[in-house]
Amino acid sequence: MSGWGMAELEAGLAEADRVLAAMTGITFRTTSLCVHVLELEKVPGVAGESTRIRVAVYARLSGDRPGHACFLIEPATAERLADEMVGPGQPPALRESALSELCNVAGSAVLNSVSDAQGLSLIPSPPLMVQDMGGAVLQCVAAALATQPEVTVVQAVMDVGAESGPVYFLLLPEGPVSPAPDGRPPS
Amino acid sequence: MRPEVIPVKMGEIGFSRQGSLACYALGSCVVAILHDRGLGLGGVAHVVLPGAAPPEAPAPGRYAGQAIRRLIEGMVMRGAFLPRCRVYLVGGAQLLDIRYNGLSMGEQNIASARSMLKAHGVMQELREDVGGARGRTVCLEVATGQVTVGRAGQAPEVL
Repeated sequence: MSGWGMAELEAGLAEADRVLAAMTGITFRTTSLCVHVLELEKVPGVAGESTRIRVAVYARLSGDRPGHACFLIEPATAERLADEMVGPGQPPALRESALSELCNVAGSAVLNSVSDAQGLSLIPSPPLMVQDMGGAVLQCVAAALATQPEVTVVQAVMDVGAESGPVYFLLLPEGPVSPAPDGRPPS
Repeated sequence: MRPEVIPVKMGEIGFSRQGSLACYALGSCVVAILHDRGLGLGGVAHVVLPGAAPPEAPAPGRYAGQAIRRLIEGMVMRGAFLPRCRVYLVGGAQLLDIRYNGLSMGEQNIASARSMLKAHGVMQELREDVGGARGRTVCLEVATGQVTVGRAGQAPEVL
């Protein structure tokens, strides 16, 4: 596996920002994109305090770049996004479905950008949403990668509107990915 | 002064005669705990994967087979009397549909840890809080042997 092209990821995240704003009416702005090669035990802490409760939307990736993709969202931010999409007071199942779809569309924007530019097949599983300790969700993903000596984490942080907490978008590819000397993954 | 809390991370084994040993935000991982109250010694193994480590494994301590053997050996080396030890298993949840060899990672970790404890004859007074679909944080207070388990949004409960 050669890696994820940074330029394609940046383009995909910009597109994700655009479609998320169009779906919710709230401004999304990707503020950072970086690649870490980490020891396994550091993965549960990559999105802040591991015991902090988050809404997580997870998808398994198959195809030419197998791995794992995950959005981690503050519960208050998730509530706000669901309100904007389906209105307040709607049944939890409908709100969860809307939020899953939101993350599905955003994730697809990123994956499409990479797959179109590199001619790859990237197939996400249906999104799964859980609300729990963010570190516990990431620990489950890390465990799936625990036969590797190290784990590569592609991390983007999105600012949502003016007052909401950040949204973390994480890609954890299976297999080794060597970042370039400047910290960028190879294209 | 507040007693020290020693975090035991994925694939690590920790021992202490004071303070607390804690594992935060457990998902599919299983934590095996041994506590010798007579000696005031606690040991914790944070298991990531079931079974025994293959020869080429980068970190054998991540596997139940090696982790629990090292936990038991470490307790004995520090003077623990195994028949006196209380034993706990915590974790093994399935938050996501992530499988290992086609089966739930959490369930396999639980089964593997139980099997290893049984193989070493330390199943006495086994107390468990395992499975389910919620993450956990577990803490052993070494002086008392009290084990508390916390879940997202809930106060910790004594096991």
